[in-house]
Parts: sequence; C-alpha cells; structure tokens
Amino acid sequence: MQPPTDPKNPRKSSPPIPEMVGATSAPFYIGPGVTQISLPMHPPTGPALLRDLKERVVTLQFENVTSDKAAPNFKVYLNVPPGDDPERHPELFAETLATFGLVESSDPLGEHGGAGKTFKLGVTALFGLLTAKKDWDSQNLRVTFVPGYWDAPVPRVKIGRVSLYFS
Amino acid sequence: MSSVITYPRVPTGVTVQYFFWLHPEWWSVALCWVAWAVMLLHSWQYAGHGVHHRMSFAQELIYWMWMAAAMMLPFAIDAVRLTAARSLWERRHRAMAGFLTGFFAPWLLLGIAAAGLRELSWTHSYVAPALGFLAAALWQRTSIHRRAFNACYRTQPLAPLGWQADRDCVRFGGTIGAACVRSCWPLMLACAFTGHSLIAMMGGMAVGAAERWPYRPRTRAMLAATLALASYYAVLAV
Repeated sequence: MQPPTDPKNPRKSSPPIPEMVGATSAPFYIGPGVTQISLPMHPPTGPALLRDLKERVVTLQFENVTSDKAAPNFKVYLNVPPGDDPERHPELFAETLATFGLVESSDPLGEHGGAGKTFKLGVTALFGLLTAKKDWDSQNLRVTFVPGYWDAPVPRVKIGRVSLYFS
Repeated sequence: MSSVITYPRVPTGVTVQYFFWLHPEWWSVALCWVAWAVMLLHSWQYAGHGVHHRMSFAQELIYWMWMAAAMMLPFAIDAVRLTAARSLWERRHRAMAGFLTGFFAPWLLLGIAAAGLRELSWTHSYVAPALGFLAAALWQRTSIHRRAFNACYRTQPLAPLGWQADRDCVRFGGTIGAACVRSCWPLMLACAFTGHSLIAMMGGMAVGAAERWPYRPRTRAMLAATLALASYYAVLAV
C-alpha cells in the first residue's frame, strides 16, 4: 500500500532519502584521553532540501572503525566548546560507540575483509536542541570522543570516516 | 460494512524522480543489461564457430570487457550504490564512475592476459575450457578464494571532495575489482576459452549468483555447476 500523500507537496510526503552533507576527509585515531575532530559541512542540494529543518532526521555515521586490540566503548558528544570537558556538557551527549566485536570485524581474513564496524547514531533530538540554542554551525560540526572505563591501557582505534546525513 | 481508504495518486514525475534519487546506480544496472545484449548478439552471430572462433587481440579484449561487465558488475552493484550513498549529492554519479573505473582496471589487466592466451592455438580446443572449469571448481575450494570472496564485501572510507574523493572512489573500485578477479579468474578465463559461449557465460553467472546472492554461499551448488560445465566441455573434447 502506498503511503498517504500530501496532495500539496507529494515529494515531501515520500519516504525520506538520506543525503550526506558532511564527512571527514581522512582516517584518524581515537584512544586514551579526549579526541575532538571537526567535520566540514556542505549545504544539502538533494532531497534533504525538501524537508524543513524541524522535520529532518539527522544521522551521524562512523565508518570503517577498526582496532587490533579490544577497546572500551566511546562516548560521543557534539559541538562541545573547544577546551571544555565534555563530561560537563551532558546535554551534548549524542550516543555511545559500542566496540563489541571490533577486533573480529577488523581481521583482514574475516567475513568482510577487515573493513571494521560501521555505526549509525540517530542525533535528531540533539540536532533539534543545538538548532534551538543557535549552537548549530551549518559549516562545521565538532565531534568529541571520550573513552569509557577500561582496566588496561586504552588502545588506539582507527576511524575511517565520520559522516553526517540529513533525511 | 466495508470501508475503503483511498489515497491521492502520486504524480508520475515525482515517482520517476524518487526512483532515480533512490537508485542512483540505475545506469550501472543498465550497463549490465547492455553488456548482456552485446554478448547475446555475439553468441548468436558466432555460435556455430564455438571454441574455434578467432578474433584479433583488440576484439578479444573488447569482448572480454563486455563479458566482465555482464557477468561481474551485477555482483558489485551494492558497492556502486554504497559509493553513491557515501558521496555528496552532486558528486554521486561522478563517484560511481570513479568506482567503475577502478573496478574494471584489474579486469582489463586479466583481459590483456586472456586475449594474449587466445592467440595460442591450444586455447581454441574444447580441452582448454574443460580444464579451465575444472581449475575453477578446485579454486573455489581454496582458502585464497575464500579470502578473496570476503574481500569483495570490503568497504573503504571516501573523502567527500576534491581529488582525494576521486582517488578514493577509484581505489575503492580497484579494491573490489582486484578481489573479484582473485575470486573468479579461472571461471572467467574458462568462459573466454569457450569463445564467450552463452552456455558458459550463463553457467558462470549462475555459479557467481550461488556464491554472492544467498546469505551464505551455496558451495555445493557452485561446485556442481562448475563441474557440470567442465564435464560438458570434456565431452565435446573427446
């Protein structure tokens, strides 16, 4: 059965198509301590334009996350002011990267040739909060990683790319 | 009492645009169909010649590439689509073109070797494809093949803009293409040795489909189909 259609704007009422609006250009490492990276953003030019800012579903994607050692989970925060302790900004907490199975998925002889794990985090609510606070920079997104508790030295984890999708 | 819920029809233009937005890889799929049409025509024209059909080096290479597009590209369509999905909206088609350039590069290298081999007279006998399919059946049981098969599902990060984005798309395509060549080279060489016979190509495609499309590769079906092709050409050889 077809979804209900808004007769005034049939494009808008179609199921959303994700559009990538920003990504890092090179792999980077996270590990012990806080790591902050910057994500250059580009204005949407495709289907994301059809939806109002308030209607957008925002997804943060972490691609090709690999490590040859077991690692703790990492907390992810968005737009923490540079130099600030992310733990003091619980309202900017986005999600947790769960590293279960990271070593197995990084094995070049494994089922996906060692491509690693890919995570999709829904950050629509946080996007709404940041835009409401006028703390959303349409050209730049800061992503901060904080390792969770680990009873051994925290190993380095490689992240192939972080990308942001509007749909 | 019955109730009928009606929704207004979505205009055709919107449906078409939505389809092309959702399936940016449509022209890669079209390329597969065109490649099959070219190979069908080729098979129909020269079916009577069988393995004895001789072409120039350039013709051999051209038909090799059409055969690779027909038989191997369908198995890389997911990667083509992923390349588009992981690119900025206005770069999607350029990114897919970059991926395909990288994907076909390893096939071109193997095609040069195959076209060179087709210059030798022994490759124009039924023994050559029979041995080729037998080698393909044995190759499917090796750990090198399994690793190559796994590498066909590998993904790589793509830079969003600039020459780095083009480089990454070509490199991603090259990685998948090289894995695809490592996985399927004996099967494709055997198909080339048949003079691009329709039976061999469709059989080879079925073997590839049994490996790629189910959740787990149907190894017994693959072995049976490959050995059946080897037996068919062995019978023709005696």
